[in-house]
Amino acid sequence: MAETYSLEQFTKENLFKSLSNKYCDEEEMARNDRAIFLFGYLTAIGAKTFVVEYDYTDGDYLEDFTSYYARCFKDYRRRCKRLHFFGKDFDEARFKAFITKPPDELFDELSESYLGFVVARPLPSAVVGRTILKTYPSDSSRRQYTVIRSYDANLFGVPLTIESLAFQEQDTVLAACATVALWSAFQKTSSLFIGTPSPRPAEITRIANGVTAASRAIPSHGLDVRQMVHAIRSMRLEPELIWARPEVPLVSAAYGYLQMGLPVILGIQIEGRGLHALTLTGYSLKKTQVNQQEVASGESSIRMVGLRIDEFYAHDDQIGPFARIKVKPSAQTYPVEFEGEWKDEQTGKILRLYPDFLLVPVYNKIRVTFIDVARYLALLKGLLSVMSLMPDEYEWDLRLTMTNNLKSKIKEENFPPNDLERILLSQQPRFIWRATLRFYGKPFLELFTDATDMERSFPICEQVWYDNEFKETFKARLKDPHLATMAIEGLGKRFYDFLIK
Amino acid sequence: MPIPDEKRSNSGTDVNDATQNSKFSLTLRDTEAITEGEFRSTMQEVAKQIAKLEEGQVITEELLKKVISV
Repeated sequence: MAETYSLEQFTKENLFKSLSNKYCDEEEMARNDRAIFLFGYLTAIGAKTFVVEYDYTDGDYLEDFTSYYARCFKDYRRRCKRLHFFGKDFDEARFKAFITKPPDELFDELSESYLGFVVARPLPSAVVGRTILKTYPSDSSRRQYTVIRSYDANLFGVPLTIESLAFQEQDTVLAACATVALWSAFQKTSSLFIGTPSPRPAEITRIANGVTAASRAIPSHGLDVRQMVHAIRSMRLEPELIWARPEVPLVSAAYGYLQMGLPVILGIQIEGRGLHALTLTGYSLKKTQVNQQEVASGESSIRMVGLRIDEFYAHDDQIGPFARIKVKPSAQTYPVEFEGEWKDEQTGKILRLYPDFLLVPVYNKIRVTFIDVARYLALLKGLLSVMSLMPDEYEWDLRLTMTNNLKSKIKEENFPPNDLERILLSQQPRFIWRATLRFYGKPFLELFTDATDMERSFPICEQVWYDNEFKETFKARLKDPHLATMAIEGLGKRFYDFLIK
Repeated sequence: MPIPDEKRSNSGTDVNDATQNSKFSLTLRDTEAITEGEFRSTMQEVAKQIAKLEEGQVITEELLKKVISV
């Protein structure tokens, strides 16, 4: 019987050898940025041993193969290798027992140490195919990987599970970076919104090119924003597109959608290179402020939770999965800037990444946007700053959530008891923008906005005050004729009526 | 290996949980002390800020035509 697998100790040499193929040898793999990144990443998450599964049929690659590679003159293989990583040292005998014997202590030990897999495609470049790897630990909830889902892998009959988001590098034949960013995003939306599809890269490129194809679809050298938007609509989702204008609190906007587990595609200008797309999968939220502001210098914005985010995690098909994107302050043109692992090939200098847009595939019933709600928060902040001695240490935490998640969450928090019961026992919209106003880290007020409504109908549906005495006095003063007229003029009648209710 | 739910926090508010047991309150100013001029100028500043913020939602041909190709 031909060899069907090999067992390898996790070392750089063994990894590069196992990823290599007849078109891309070990030496070339050792210079491949994705392979180098994977070695570092797997080392950090504790890889000790890996199993190479030969002749693995990968659905994504198979579609690429039948769409393109099978029709090339060169004899590309249709099967891949799949490398399974474990956080334990084990030998051949233990592995055989793991595969062949009924579940026991060893089975549990190895299953629990499973770190995920990398599909190695038999191609001259773009070797890193579908990759599903465990995330870094949460570091006391600082790291939040919200855009992950459950994946099943089967290794010679052993079912293994991993929480992650699929990654792969572009082959610039059937998929460039925009296609790959969409592919990762649809992996998550298909699990979040049951019934929405998760097509393979070749299919995404074909769908996207259903509109305004300026050049040939395949080989693909990229998509324009309109084509990305079209691909999202074709998945029965709606594209939420936010232009990274200097005045938009971009970090908080991305966070607002990521909190619900929605993938956020970030379009970035790479210094001296061009426009690139990556999929944000999470963020690092610090306990205290790390950025002075998240809009361009000279612009102003309400203070939001984005000031505590020091980095995002992104699937960057030219770097690797869960790659760090550090948030940096910006001068005039951009709300913020980013720094990742992009380097100048000649000098090794880290390149600046300038945000261009955020693109979020949302369910069609999510109609009210982050910016729609942020305007009400700005109005209320204005009112509070006139009516009270408001400290500078405040923060609006605006994030999208689903009713059931919200109800579970508020039960775990120190939510005002009367409001807790009222909200738990009442019907709420399926999607809600939850805005929490905090002073010195302590919650003061919550506003819930019906995300399924429309901005013009005044969609804020709940207000919850943590200080009942303040609430009563505030409402009484707001009714004072001296203030009422000005407040109605400044806030609008509907917002005013809601606040005094 | 699945990350147990209790370890996989999906809420950005978790880091604040420890601080939620104590309460903070704002001090309200006397209504009479708030002048019309002060109120109007504050809300006008807010309106300007909102107008700029909303530009982030204005999608133009220029944006749609951008090619992502790196």
